[in-house]
Amino acid sequence: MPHVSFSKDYAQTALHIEVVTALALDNGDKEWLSSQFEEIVGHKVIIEAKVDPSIIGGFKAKIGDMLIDASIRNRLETLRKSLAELGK
Amino acid sequence: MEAIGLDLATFVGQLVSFLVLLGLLTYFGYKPIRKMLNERSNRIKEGMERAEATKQEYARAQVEVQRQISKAYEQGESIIAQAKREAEELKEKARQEARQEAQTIIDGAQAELAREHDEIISDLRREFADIVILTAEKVIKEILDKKRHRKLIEEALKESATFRKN
Repeated sequence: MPHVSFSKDYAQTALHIEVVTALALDNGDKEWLSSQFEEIVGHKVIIEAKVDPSIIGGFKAKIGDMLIDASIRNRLETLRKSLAELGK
Repeated sequence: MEAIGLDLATFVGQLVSFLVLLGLLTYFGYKPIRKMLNERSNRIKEGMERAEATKQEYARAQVEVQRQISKAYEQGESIIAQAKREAEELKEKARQEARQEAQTIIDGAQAELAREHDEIISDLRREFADIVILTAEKVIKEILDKKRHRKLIEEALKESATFRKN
């Protein structure tokens, strides 16, 4: 399990997750994302939303020192590398 | 003696005179002449011997000269043959070096050509990939609205089972 930082929100220790998206998240989105991440990490989380249009779509999430890069930018870069390597 | 018309006293006198003359001639004439003749004969003999020795020496020298000439000729032939062999070897070596150099140049040119070909292909692949990605990016940006954005996040959450270290 990676090192994570905890804080005392909601009267219990919650996990801070920095989530970057291309479009701004409204409160409903944040609540939905929180529930999704709580399922993934099995822990109460607090979403810190940031906007970065350069990722195009999807999201990037930083949990402690772990990174989930599920952005369209990342997929396109992977696709770019695959295309550049094609036929080698 | 008188019967044959000879006077004994005259005869004896003439005989003595003859013998004295003969003795004188023998002592003062014959011996020196003989000695001189012997010396001359010896000188001639020695001269002839020297001449013979010289002739033999000359013959030996001629043989030696001939032998030296033959040896020199053989050595000359050998040197010429050796020089020819060395010249052939040098020619062959130069030919091989030229061939190797030419092959090196050809190999280098082919390698350079292959490298340039690969580079062009790689550039084309990169350019093609860039065009595809830019086009995809443009299209995605154009069609991306809030609903589709939410859908993308949902799909990404489903797929993102992999965590990566920073």
